[in-house]
Amino acid sequence: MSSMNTSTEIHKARSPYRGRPAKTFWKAGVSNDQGEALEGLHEKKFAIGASDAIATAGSCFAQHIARNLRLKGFNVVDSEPAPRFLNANTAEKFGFGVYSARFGNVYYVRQLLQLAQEAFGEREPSNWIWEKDGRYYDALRPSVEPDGLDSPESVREHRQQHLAAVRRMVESATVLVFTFGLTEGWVDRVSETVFPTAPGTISGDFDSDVFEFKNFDYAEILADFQELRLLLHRHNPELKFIVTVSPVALAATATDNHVLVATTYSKAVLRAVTGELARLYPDVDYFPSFEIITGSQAKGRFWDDTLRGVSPEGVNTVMRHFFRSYPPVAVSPPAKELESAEGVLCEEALLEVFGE
Amino acid sequence: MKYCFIGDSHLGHVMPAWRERVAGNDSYKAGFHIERTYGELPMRIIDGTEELACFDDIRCAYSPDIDVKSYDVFVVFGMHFSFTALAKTYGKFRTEEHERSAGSYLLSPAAHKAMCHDLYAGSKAMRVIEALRLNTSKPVFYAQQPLPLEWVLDRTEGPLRFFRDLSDSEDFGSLLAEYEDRLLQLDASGVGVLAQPESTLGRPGFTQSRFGLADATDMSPESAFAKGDYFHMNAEYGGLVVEQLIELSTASALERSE
Repeated sequence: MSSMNTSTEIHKARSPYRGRPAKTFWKAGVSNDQGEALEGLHEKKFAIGASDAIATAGSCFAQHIARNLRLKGFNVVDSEPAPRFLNANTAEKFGFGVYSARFGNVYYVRQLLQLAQEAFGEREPSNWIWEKDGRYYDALRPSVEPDGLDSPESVREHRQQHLAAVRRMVESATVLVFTFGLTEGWVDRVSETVFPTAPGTISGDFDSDVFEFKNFDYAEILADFQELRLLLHRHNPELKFIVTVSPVALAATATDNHVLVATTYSKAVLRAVTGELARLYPDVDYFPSFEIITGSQAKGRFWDDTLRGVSPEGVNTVMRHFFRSYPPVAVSPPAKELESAEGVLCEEALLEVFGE
Repeated sequence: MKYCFIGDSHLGHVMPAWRERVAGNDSYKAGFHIERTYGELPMRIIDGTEELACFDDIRCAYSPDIDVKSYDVFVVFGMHFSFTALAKTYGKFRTEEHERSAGSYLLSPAAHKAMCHDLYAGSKAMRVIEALRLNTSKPVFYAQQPLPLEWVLDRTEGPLRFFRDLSDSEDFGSLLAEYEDRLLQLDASGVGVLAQPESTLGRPGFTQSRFGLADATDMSPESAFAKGDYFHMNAEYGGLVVEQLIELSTASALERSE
């Protein structure tokens, strides 16, 4: 056999990669332009139009998504709106406008599942009012009242109001953007109520007889989201989902692993679950913000000095890709104040004086 | 002495009163910078050609530029630093300390306090005052936005009924105290607060109806009264404010010259 014959045979051999789009090859999809364009990175399953109402929830990276969607004129659900004259910092301090209701960061799916179950009367949490220095906190969203409240009764009353807002959010949204954050959580041993922070961190006290650490695995997270999806569809059958994975690393791990190893495990599990959800359901789309920030094409430039947080450039890059998939809808001009009845009266009062 | 009057439609009761008061007296001069509902020129504070501050949400029809070098005294009128602004929140937000029938959304006391703070700190009046104080050492006065006219309490239907609801509630006193406290804080910060003339006050939190621009006997459909103008005052009110202003600013000038 001559070498030419061998070469010809190889040339004629069929390959499953032949004829595939450029985006499926690393060289064409990433190396050639150093990952600047990432053409075809995300092909949306469904569009978001002017009539869509987008709810957002998830870990801290989801805050960026919500904020940028608003800036681009998307109709982002806000079922617990702040007083309109509250300045942005104050509003954020009390959890207003950060997500579609004041639930604070939702780091893992079990949290959102239990919140939805509670909102629709399917479960009651336990051990969820924590005390610190005579102040009382809703342990399921401790960040929204940084100074706590006067009494447990007050915490309960605020929570009932919040649950009503969550119901409104679910019922009014057409798309839920949810960012998966972590696999590690803290659970009440008896009721299995999950908490966004470890007891003793912001408030409360860590009693190992009451609380335990849990590192949710692939099967649990997948099952949790499937249950969540079914529950939400019972109350809003048209609801669609865009899922993402937060690139932000764990601040700390409760496993015995190095935090870098624990982070990689956590993100790998979440990435696998979100991929599977997108494969299984036509109403679940995966948006690759995780890859945009952590991929080798980013060369680490999207991290801030902590190597944990995402820089503004990184957020902007994610959003640029997001809006390439979901072009911003036309922004409605805000209703002009002058059209208010009082504005007209003000003008009339001055006209009377000036005789214009 | 040259006065700089800055404000919104609440200056309407001042301008004619001022002109009448200073007619023939060359020692009093004034410039008026008025926010207009249909204004298009953003109000600016300048020093000659240098822009010191620009307020995109305060629009004038003319004279948008306030040159700090051109005036001796600055007087800010109204501009939403008002009891009414706080009263309007009552139907929307409440705390556990308020009646249960108050606002629809429950705020924690801390969040409510922050709301009250931001309401006044972010008001147009406060932003203009802060910009002035940052850029000039000349005296700055704030003329209290008049309290609502008493007749508004008779409106038991429609968008103005919140005054009646608030007035009937046990929360009225605490909200009025909150507003008065903000005025005291402003005064304590070095801004001369021209309180509403005492002779114009009606029941707590309200102005006697006779000082209103709206004629409370005019029932014609297009009248200011029928349309619900409970917040603009008349020339008589303006005259009292002008007297008060001249007295206080003259005293302040004397104090500064000593």
